[in-house]
Amino acid sequence: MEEYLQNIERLSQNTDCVFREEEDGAFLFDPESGNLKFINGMGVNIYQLCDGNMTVGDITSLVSENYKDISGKKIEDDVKIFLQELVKMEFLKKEEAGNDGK
Amino acid sequence: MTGNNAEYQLNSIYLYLTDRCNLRCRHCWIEPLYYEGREDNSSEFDLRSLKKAIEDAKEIGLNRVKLTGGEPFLRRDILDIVAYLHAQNITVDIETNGTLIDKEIVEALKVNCVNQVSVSLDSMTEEQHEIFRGVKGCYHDAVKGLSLLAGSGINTQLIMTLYKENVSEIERLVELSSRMGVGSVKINPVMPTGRGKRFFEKEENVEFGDLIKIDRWIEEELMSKYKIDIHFDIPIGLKSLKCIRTRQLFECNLFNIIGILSDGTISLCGIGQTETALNMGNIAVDDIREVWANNPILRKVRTDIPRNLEGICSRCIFKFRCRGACRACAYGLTGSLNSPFFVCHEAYEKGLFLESRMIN
Ligand code: SF4
Ligand code: SF4
Repeated sequence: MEEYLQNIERLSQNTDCVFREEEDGAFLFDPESGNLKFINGMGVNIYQLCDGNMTVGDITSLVSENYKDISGKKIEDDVKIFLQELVKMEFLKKEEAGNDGK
Repeated sequence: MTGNNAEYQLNSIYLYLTDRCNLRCRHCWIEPLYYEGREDNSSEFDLRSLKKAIEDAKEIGLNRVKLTGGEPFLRRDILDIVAYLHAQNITVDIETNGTLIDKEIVEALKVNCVNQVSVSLDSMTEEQHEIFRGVKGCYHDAVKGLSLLAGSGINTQLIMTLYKENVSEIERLVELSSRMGVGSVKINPVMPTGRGKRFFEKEENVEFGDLIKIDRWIEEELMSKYKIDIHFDIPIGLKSLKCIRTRQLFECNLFNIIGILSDGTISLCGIGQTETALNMGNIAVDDIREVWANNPILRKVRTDIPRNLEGICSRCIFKFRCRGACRACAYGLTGSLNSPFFVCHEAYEKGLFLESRMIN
């Protein structure tokens, strides 16, 4: 059973993976596992917010503010699914509990 | 690591029915013997060994066989082989030069539910096709074969080998295919292996920068104009982003394919015809399951690809998906299965390989 991301969790980029921007998005590639994923422009913005300081809740609220015409709940779910996928593919890492990321 | 590991399941066999051909194509990587008639050839594998190999291979995952050659229809018992494979529930694809296809053959292929027949045609200009394929009269025979197949409802594909001089024929062949009801067009730039070497020596191959331009033109204009699927075979690393995200692309299936040459030799795809060091046994005496599980060449390929690919392939973010494009071609050119694929290597040398697709 997959662990669901909590709003208080902080995520950071896995620096062993490469991030390569193209026209309207970017590739994430893990040279070790071979995992490769293309993320679109919005995905790039979300990925870049994962700096180890912002929580999942902070990120979803920030994204919701930019998409006022879509329901907050829908955005929150979509962002969490996206982040969860990047965690699963190990492009993002969960910060250890107790580490405030600063 | 064993042959039963899901990633290394033997799904597909390239079956070289004969080493004879009734044409003398200037680009052919197999360099078959020229032969007109449909006589029997004692050096070709017998049906009994083939059946044993197919039945054994089915136990480790086989579900698809591509019949190729030489010209596969030169082999007398091709229709028996097709019927046998169909009875074994195996998906059958055939690659042919189309010149020997007649109504009876088409009927038999239909009855046995052949999945796809690919016919080679390089130009709408009779003279150009015949200079390339090396035999007078082959243009009309090939077009007739293609039309019989497409008209019968069999999923037909036109395969064009591309070199400098026939670039202007692309659209005409696509138009013909679309008009005839051919399912798809596959365009393979000529490779510098087998007879294809001479194209490169004489600089008759399409330049690498132009390959990329042709790819984009096909994708942006030709496909929508003719509403037909066109596969332009250049490696993923050189494709457009849209194409990478939405289409099935050129990938080496070496982990799931084995070749059986016309004399029964078990080989890495078809390369064993010219590179005998890559031969792994013979279906007359060896158990294909054992070869698949334990042969040192296959074991090495499974460890080395993609992790030990060299040059630009080692730095490419698509290497796990692409696996260095055609490893057989790389081997034919350099004697190493790990060497970079020449198209991406040349593109990189010329500054045409995008930085965003490389690591380090
Ligand atoms: S550089 Fe190698 S692995 Fe990458 S796309 Fe080209 S052939 Fe494939
Ligand atoms: S090595 Fe070449 S011929 Fe063999 S499976 Fe790969 S792409 Fe096909």
